[in-house]
Amino acid sequence: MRRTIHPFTVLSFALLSFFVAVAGRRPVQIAMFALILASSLLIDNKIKFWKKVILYILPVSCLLVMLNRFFGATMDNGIDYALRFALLVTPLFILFYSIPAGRMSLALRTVNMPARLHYLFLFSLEMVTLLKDILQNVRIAQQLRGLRFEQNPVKRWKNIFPMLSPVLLIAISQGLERSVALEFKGIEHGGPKTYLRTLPLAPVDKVLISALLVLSCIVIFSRLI
Amino acid sequence: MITFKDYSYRYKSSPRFALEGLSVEIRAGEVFSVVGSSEAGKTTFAYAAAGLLAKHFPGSKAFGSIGLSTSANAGDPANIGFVFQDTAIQLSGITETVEEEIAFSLEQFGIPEAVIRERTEEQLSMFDMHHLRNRHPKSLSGGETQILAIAAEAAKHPRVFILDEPTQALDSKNIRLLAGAIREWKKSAAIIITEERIDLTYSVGDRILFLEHGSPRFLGSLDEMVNSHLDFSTLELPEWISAQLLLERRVVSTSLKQSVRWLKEYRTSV
Repeated sequence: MRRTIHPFTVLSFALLSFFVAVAGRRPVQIAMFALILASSLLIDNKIKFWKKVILYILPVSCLLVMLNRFFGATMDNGIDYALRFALLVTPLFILFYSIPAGRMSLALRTVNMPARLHYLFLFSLEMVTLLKDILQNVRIAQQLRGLRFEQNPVKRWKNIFPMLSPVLLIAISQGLERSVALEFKGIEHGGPKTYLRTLPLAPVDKVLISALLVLSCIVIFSRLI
Repeated sequence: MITFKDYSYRYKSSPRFALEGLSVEIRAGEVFSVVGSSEAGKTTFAYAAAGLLAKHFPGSKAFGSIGLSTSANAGDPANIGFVFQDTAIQLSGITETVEEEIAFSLEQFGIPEAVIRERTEEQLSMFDMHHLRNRHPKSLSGGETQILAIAAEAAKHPRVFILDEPTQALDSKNIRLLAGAIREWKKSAAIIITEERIDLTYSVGDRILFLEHGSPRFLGSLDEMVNSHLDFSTLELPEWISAQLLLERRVVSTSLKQSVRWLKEYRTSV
C-alpha cells in the first residue's frame, strides 16, 4: 500500500507557513513559498492546485501590489503584502487538495478531539464541496436555459453573480436538512463513541511535525529578538 | 406508538394548513403508508412523526397533539430512523467507504465494536451490497446512494423508522430488496412510508392514509381502499403494474381501483 502523508503533518506545514507569513523576514518568506510550491508536486491533485494558484492566488497577489502602489505606498510594501497573502492561502489549497475529509476525520479521532469541534471543522470544509456542487448544477441549469458562459475569465466571473442568490438559498436549505440528518446519525450524542478506525502518527510523521514546530518557534523568536 | 390527535399544522410562510384535522394512531409492528400527490402533506406528516416540526420550523403554528409512547423513547435519535427525500445530503460526507458510512451512526452512539461489525454485515447482506463495501460513498449511483442512506439508518435498529419517498431513485430489484427488509424490520418497529408512486405501499403497506391538500381522505387497508368509492386517480401506480397494463394494451392512466381489480383477476387467471 502506498504511504501517504499524515493530515497533521500537512497542518503543521500550514502552521509554519502562517508563522513565516506573519513573522518571517523576506528571504525566509521567499524560501518558504518556494518550498510550498515544490511540495505541491507531491500531491495527487497537483494540476487542480496549480490551476487555483494561477486563477486566484497570482491575480490577487498582483492586485495587492498594484493597489499599494496606487494608494501611494512603495512597491516593496505591495510585494510584502502579496507574499504574506500567498503564504497564508497557498498551504490551505494544498491541505484541501491533498487531505480528503475522511482522512482528516480519522486523524482527529486519533487525538480524541471533542466530537462537536471535530464535526464542526469537517462539516464546514464539506460545505465548500457542497457549494461547489450546487454552483455546478445551477450553472448547468442556466446553460440549458440559454445563458452563455464565455471563456474569457472576466466575463465568466460576471456571469457568476446572477447565480449567487439561488446557490446560497439552496445551500442554506440543504445545510439545514443536512444538520437534521446528522442529528439522527447521533453526532450530538453525548456519551462515549466507538471508533472502528483511527489514523495514528507514524514515526516519520512525528519527526516531521516536531521539526516543523521547532522551525515555527525559531521564526517567532527570530522576530522577537 | 405514535398518536396524532386532531393535529393541524401550518408553516410560517404559508396561508394554508399543510396538515389538517389528523387523528391517527401508528402501532408497533405495522407498516403505515402515507400516500398522495405532491403538496399533499406527506413530508410534513413524516417530519411531524419524527418530532422535527417544533424544533426546526420556529414560528409555525401547530394545533392538537402528537404523542410518542415511552417505549419509543421520544425524541432520542437512536430510536428514530429517518430517511430524507434527498438522500445524497443524508450521507455523512466524511467516510471513505460504504462500510464506514453504515457504521458511522453506530459509532456515534457508542455501540460496542463487535455489534457494529455484525450490524454492518447484516445491512450489506440485506441490500446485497457486499460488492460495494469498499467503494467511496460519493462514487455511488443515485439508487445505490438511496439504498446506502436507508441501510445506514436501519443499522441503528430504530423503534420508529420513517422513510420519505424511499423508492424515488430505486430500480425494481432494489424495491424488492427494500420490501423484504421492511417486512423484517416491522417485527420490532413501526414503519412509516410516504409515497407518491405506491410501489412499497402496494406490497408491504398494512394501513394506508391518503392525504389530499393536507387533509386525510382515507385510512384503511389496501383492500378497503380498492373497495371504497373514493377517487384515487391522483396516485401513481407501481411501475410494473403500469408496464403490465401497457403490455395488455390497457390505458396506463387507469385508476388504482381499476388496476388492482384487474391485477387480482389477472393473478386468479394465472
